[in-house]
Amino acid sequence: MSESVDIPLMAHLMRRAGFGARRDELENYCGLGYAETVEWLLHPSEDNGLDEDIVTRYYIDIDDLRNADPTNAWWLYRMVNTNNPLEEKMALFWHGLFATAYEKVENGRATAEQIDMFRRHCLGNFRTILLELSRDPAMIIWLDNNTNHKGAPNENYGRELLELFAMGVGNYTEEDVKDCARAFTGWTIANFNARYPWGPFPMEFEYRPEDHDDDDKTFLGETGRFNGEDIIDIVSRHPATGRFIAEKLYHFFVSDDPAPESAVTQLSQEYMNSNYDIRSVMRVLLNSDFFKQALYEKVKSPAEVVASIVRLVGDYQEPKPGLIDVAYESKYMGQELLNPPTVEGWHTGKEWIDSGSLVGRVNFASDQLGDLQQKGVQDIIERISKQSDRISPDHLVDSCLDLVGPLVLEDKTRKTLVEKARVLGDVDLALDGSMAGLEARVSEMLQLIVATREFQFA
Amino acid sequence: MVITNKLVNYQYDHTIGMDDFAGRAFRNLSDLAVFENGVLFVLQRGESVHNNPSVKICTVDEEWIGEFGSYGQESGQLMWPCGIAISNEEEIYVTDEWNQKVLIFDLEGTFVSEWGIKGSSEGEFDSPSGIAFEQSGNLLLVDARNNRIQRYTSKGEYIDTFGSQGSRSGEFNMPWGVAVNRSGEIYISDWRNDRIQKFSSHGEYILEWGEPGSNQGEFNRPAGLCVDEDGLVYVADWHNDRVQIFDSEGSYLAELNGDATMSKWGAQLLEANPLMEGFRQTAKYPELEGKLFRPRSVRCDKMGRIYIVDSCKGRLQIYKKT
Repeated sequence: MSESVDIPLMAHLMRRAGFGARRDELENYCGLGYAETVEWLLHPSEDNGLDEDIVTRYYIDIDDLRNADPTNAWWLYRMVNTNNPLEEKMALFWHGLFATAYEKVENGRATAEQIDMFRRHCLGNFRTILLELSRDPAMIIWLDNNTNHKGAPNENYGRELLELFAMGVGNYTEEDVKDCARAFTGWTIANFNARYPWGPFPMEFEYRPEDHDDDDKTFLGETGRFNGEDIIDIVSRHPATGRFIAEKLYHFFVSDDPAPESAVTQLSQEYMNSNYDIRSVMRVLLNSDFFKQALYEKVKSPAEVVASIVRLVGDYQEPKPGLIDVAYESKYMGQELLNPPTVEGWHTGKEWIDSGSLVGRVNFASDQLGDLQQKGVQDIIERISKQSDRISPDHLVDSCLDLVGPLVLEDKTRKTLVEKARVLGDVDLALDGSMAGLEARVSEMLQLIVATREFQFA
Repeated sequence: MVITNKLVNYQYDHTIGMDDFAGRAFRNLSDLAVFENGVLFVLQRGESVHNNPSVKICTVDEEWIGEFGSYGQESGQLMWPCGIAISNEEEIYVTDEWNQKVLIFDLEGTFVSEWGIKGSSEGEFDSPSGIAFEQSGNLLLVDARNNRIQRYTSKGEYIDTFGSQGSRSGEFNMPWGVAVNRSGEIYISDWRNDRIQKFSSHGEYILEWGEPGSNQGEFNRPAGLCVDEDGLVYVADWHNDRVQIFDSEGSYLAELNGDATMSKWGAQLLEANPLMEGFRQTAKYPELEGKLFRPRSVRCDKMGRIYIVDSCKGRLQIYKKT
């Protein structure tokens, strides 16, 4: 495989199926090959490379996971350092789809355990994912299934399972919602509120048969004494669910634009043919032409902005103070992980961008990539310095664009950057002190590049 | 609860503290120093609460005295405090794993002095963690990421060092705790090697015990440790959520898993907030409330008390050797 051809595609794959990759990593993946890299991504290693003992030794509040802040910081650390990028990206996908907020759960560990559950099952069977979701303590609190009682059903979880999590409006009736809720009566949790004076007891799923409505129910045309598992069986095998998941995966991994019918058909057929196996669907998606042709068709989510930039500059590769502050940056840009605004999750695509969030995105990127102390920035400078003894303005701009993406700018924007670089002319690396000059020029150029429109896309 | 075997008996005594981020409470406990007359200096750190005072002072009878410390990198400030000990001159020594310093405070919490710089040369640190004073008054300091133990005078003058990176006898992998017995022999919790090593007062290797696991005598990242007046060794077996007790040669004697009963501060909180007590009563397995959760340190005093720093529960559990 030729690097010049493959680096952009590989970088695209790693932006979408992970949180970006440094150039040395991209070169390694190119050596492995595209299809083989996809298979590597689809099979997360047991060794996630995170040294969790060291993380929790130094981050004592991640050892505790008492509240949202360390839980959020821990997730960012994982996105930056994991050996299993697709696992973390899929967890982010499921978190966005099954949006659950700490604000109501008020238990950092339960929230973290939900994300762990997403990691464990992220590429598994969708039926299993829905079953685990229905038993998840944080979800049970979030959608009130602990108040869903025999004779007094609370429809919140049953409704969202059908509307937002698996099928979509138009594929079920109001009567289906009611009987779906009845099927989940008795699915509750233990240790919801017990937390004083030494912190929360571990919450756990609890099935109370005496509180379960065991009478007949009619759901999506089938009748029986359905329990929650039966509902999940029926939902999982319904063609509408295959289309729903296909559209959600396309939207998250491929493009902000509506999914074309051909892509939805291809993915939903794989969903049905594989007995709802998400790994199989993702294999089709990541190897498809529609995915490979979708470079820079998605606005980066704030979490992607923060994690990918921290990865690029090589920061937080081991514990150090300030991780929570960095994790907060995503919140300032409009996406507080573990605290979605509603059960619908976040509105994505161009809705990520407004005047405030854009300034936050640019400032964060500029601060990070303008920091010459960062190892990743030094790596970029070193690579450019080895390309030629004399760096022209065009070369400087194109090399910086290449090493932060590769990123392709509109001609007009690129010309503006080149004109800016021409003010100081070539960098002659044969001259004494020229490395300091190159550092300053690269730093300045990187800060300009992150302010471009194109940099906001993945 | 009474924990016994043919050699030792331990009686759970009481619990101190409650969990909260500020005021008369503990969170993210790291270590403890026991002063005379039952005064306790409780060290805590926090990432999410930057202004978290770092040393809280109370008595063994749970009388609140006060707190001191501030978050930062200026002189006298703390970022990642880890170990605490009291010198013969009755000054409080605190290690800071991020600022790479040993800080000295008086008993009122007034900053006295500090030393330290990041590095791997003599007298430099990379993540100083556990500390303990020898009878001579010299200070033993675990230089965790340099995988060595350093000895200083109480004024911070470098004396000597022993240990290097590895897993063979006498080598370390990110050690954490240090303790000295009455004979001057030194015990080190060799954290990432999941073992305890014993050295002479000159740093010569004597013996070791432990391996990864959760059975008796095995460890899941041993953290702080201490030695009592009889030479028994207590190890905070951090991620096994227990304290293990050994004789001076490493033979297993007993383990403590936690028996916390309601503390004074906790009882006052619940009395003032009946709703909280009502929530507490809904716990499915109330017996779990008393169990240890991530103990990072254990200390003993001359009265035969064992103090377990129950780090992620915001409390100290106290046992008595009977």
